[in-house]
Amino acid sequence: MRKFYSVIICSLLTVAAACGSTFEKSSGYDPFLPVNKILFKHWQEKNIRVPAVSSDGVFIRRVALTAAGRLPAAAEVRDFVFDDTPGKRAKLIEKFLNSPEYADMQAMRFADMLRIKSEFPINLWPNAVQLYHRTIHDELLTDRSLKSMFYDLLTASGSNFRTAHANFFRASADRSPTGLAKMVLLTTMNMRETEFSKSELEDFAKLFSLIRYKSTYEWKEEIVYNDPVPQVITARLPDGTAVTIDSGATDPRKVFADWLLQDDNPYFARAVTNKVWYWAFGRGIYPQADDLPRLESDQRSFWAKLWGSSDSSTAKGDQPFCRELQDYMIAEFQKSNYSLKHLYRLIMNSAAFQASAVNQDEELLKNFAAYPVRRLESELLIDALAAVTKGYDRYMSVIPEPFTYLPGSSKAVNIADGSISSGTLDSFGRPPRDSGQFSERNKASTDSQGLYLMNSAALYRRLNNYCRNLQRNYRNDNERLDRIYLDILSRYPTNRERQVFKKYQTSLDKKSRHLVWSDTVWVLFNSKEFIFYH
Amino acid sequence: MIDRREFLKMMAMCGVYGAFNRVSGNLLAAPVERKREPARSVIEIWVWGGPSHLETFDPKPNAGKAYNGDYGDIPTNVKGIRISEFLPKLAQQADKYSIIRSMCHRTNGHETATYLMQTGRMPGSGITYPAIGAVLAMLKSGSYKGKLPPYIALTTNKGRFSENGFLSDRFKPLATGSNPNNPQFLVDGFVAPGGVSKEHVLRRQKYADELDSFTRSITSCRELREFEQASLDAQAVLSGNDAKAFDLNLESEAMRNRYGRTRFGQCCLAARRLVEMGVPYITINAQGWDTHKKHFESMQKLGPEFDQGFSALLEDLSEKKLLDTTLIWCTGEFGRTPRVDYQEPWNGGRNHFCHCFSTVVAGGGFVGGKVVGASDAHGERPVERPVSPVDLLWSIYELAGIDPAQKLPNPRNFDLTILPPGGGKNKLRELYQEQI
Repeated sequence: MRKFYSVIICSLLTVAAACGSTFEKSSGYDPFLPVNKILFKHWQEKNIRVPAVSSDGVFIRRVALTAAGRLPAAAEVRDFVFDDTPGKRAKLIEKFLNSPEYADMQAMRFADMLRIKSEFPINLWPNAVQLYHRTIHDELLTDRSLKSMFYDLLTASGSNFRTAHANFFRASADRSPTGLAKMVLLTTMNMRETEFSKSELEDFAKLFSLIRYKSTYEWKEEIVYNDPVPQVITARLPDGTAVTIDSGATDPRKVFADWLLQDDNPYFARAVTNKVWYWAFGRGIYPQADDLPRLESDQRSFWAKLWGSSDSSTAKGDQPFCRELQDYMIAEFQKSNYSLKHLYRLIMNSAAFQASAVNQDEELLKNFAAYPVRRLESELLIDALAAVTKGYDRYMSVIPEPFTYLPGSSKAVNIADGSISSGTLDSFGRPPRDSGQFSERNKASTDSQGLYLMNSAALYRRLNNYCRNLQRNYRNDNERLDRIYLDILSRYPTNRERQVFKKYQTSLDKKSRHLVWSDTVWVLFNSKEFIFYH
Repeated sequence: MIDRREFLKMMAMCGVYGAFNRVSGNLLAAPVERKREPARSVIEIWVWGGPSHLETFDPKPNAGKAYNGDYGDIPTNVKGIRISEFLPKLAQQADKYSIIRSMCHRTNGHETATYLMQTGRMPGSGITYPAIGAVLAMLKSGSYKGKLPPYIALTTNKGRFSENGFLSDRFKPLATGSNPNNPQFLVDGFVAPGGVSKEHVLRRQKYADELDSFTRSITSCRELREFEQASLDAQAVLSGNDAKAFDLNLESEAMRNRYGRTRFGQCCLAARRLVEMGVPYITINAQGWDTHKKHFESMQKLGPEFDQGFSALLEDLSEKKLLDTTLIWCTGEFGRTPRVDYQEPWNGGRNHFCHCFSTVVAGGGFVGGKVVGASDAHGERPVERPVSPVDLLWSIYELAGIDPAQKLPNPRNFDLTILPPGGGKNKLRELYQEQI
């Protein structure tokens, strides 16, 4: 083992000299990071070789997309690639985690999870959507502890227009106690009702049976509150503990929140770590990241017991790909006072996130020894096209009156309301935010997406504008080509690519020679390297 | 001996596979004892906002100015049927369609009423149901071989809810955008933006393949292969003829004028061209009918456009012998208050009215020249045979060859029937050309 590490250290020293291909280089992991120690050990156990490292160009693109939902700017790529100070990757991660776009991106993720939309079947209504989204956005910006954020979500009462967190229990298509219970299980524990028997679910639902809603004279205002008539409720928590609550003295929702958010309860931390892992990789630490198995009731006492062999998940084959890593992530999350940013930091610094994507072997993917290739989220792809061409789509809604128009340069990532969309956004799989399940976001590739990218008149117009500016701002063909590649693929063109370009340019007759620029941009927009995370 | 329901149930089970893989034949659309072919395409004319039944298919000439604004009725080419004087051309086609004058439900909000009229369900169950267009697009995708999407909206979506509900995004309507009344109907993505020749497209594609370092370096995976297939499909659309359906300039000047040079009229023409391509479900979402203020002034514009486009569509489909296999239904989510509000700020406006309104059906196995139900003297309540949204949807499904009592195959594995169980009792059997 020691020998193994020293090999890595040696190669670390030669990082700067390591000649990398376009997409990967031979070494560059920090072997002393605890998360890497766990991963290396896991890979060794699975007989998997430590994977090659993603190249700098690939890495900055990954970090920018994952943390901030955008492509890196050409200047950012240039600075990063030519920076040869040690620890530049960790510094880059901090830069993107502390950018304002970090909160934009994570607010979109949270809005999907919390089903923030005005209309069917959630019906938060526009004013509430704005308040709710903005509040969550600002809390993510300051990295508020998720423990306190979720405590507020689970216990807030008040007007949907004034108390942002009170919208949590409104954002459910089914507001019956069982419907709310299912929603709470999915949102806070990444679990489905199928993990529980009918009577267990009913007993759990009693904790939400006193929630009431009433409207006011203000149009579409709704107050969330608890039934003021004191009642004695006998309910059961998801771990089976029976509780008797006098609602006159205690809000039953608080009983659940206190249980969920105490430090020796892993359910919440397990759920959040799987969410963030899923957001970073398109797959979770558990294969079914939002359909997690149950833990046995005695597990809440101690870590070792927690993940012991008595875990009921064994039977189902629903297990984390690496239990030690799952434990570590949970412990780190709790130690950091439930900091979302800390989870992202851990993940993006890990060898799993920095691994090359060149070999997409399923066995490697399962063990996170290869970075999974997958299509960009709808909003990110549309925003990337817009950012490169400086031409944004317009978003508006005719429902309800008065009409809503988002400002002209709005990014799709920043659309607060799941009910406001566009045909293009929908066709690339923007989730309807009806249930909050991961599967709502459609990742499939379809012919209509291809038609948009290949043949949209609107996109052509923007692409031609981009080329006009390019020709105005750069005199030299090499500089122009560099700029196109940096803007779209976050890297410099290779020598081979320069040659292919030259060959194509000279093959065009004089009359159509100017098309070489728009054609090159078109080709890169339609390339997998642009459309996919890699 | 198995009866028809059993048979359909069995077929539905087989259909689950076919519906998602586009490989099965039209298993679901084959009730055994049926002679005529089920409707191949459906055109929905969605009079978005709610048309006044009094100024369309249920005029009340004797109700007085407070109700009819002094507008009257005219005879049609079917004895005994009279419609509003706003629709003289449709009056000449009355033998081709039937009028339901006793539509009713209980919700006066656009959103909820649209959802109800489109899905046959009230919202609130925790599930967003798919609209009829998405369901038919899915169940008919086995027999539809065209390259255009199976559900097309001219020109915008309704936008009240995700119309594919819990079904795959593939059955979301393609909103064409643009305006078919423009010199060129530019359906973004489907119609070439111009300036790029076919040879250049080929040359560019070769350049793309040569430049593609990524594909050269990476081992393939499912996602990448799926993307490649989708790109090939898209290229097939671009090089094929299907998208020509959107090129209305291929029609003669006379034909374009016949439908009226209006957005609505040219939408009707585009719908006919899409029917010829075999697209299973087309919806025309007509706009501007939510006439709270100055209703009669608005009708001066809306009426003639609607009259010309819809009548030309009926006549043209019938001449081309397509009306038998094309089912048309035309409705708003509700009607408008029969009593006119002459006060400020409405100045002769009509509001939302769900208690009684009119729907028109034609072709695809519906008989023409009939009236179902009737409203009272003011058009405020049905006086005979009230028809609910489910009754109407049930009949459309049946004539399109789908038993709405069958299970609806879906990717989320909800155990649900297409329409609420037992909903077929009051279906519009009196309008079926042939009893099912």
